[in-house]
Amino acid sequence: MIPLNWYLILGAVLFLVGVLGFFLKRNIIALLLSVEIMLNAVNLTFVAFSSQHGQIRGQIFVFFVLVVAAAEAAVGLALVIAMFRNRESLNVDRSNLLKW
Amino acid sequence: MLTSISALFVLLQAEFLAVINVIVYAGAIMVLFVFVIMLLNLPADPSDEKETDRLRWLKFIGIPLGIFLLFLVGATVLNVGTSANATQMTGTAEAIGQSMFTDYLLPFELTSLLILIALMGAVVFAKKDL
Repeated sequence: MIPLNWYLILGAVLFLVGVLGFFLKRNIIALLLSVEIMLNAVNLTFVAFSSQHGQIRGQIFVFFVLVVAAAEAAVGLALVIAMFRNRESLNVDRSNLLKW
Repeated sequence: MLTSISALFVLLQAEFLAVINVIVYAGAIMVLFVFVIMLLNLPADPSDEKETDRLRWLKFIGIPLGIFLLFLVGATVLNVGTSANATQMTGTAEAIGQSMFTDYLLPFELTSLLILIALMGAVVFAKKDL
């Protein structure tokens, strides 16, 4: 068995990768992918603790996180399409108006 | 990365979630991303050139780190032994279903509502004349 620490470290590193990608990238698709990486890091932490404590609840929660991630990806990508149609760019710095 | 996380789920005795993770991420979300990228047919962004210029030195960090990771994974794979003790299976589909349809029935039904709303929202956002 791999100790719990390594799972937590991997989860933290993955979350850090997601956060850095979210703040450093300017492409909106890359931002969405960074959010997915962060959600996966949290999922990994949940499952690690669930396995450690021998309880099923953490895995149930991961299931709900997966559902939310799927819904978020669908709506987010629809927004990307709408944004590209109106702005002709995926750079988030260029979409700086709430209304036009 | 997603496949690796699914493998870790299997190691953590969460087989159901491993399968679901592969199906949802590889089968749905990543296909959706790739499909949108293909659909948009992006032109080359001139502001990306500057960014690659700025981040050029990063490969001097990235390549050694990648080689280090390769060695690390290789050493781990070579040193792996048999599992110490196979404890009880916690994350089978049976256990998850048992819990989800008794204790967590209401949240489970609410997720179907959430997915329905997300579906309608995606259709509305992607319409031609928003």
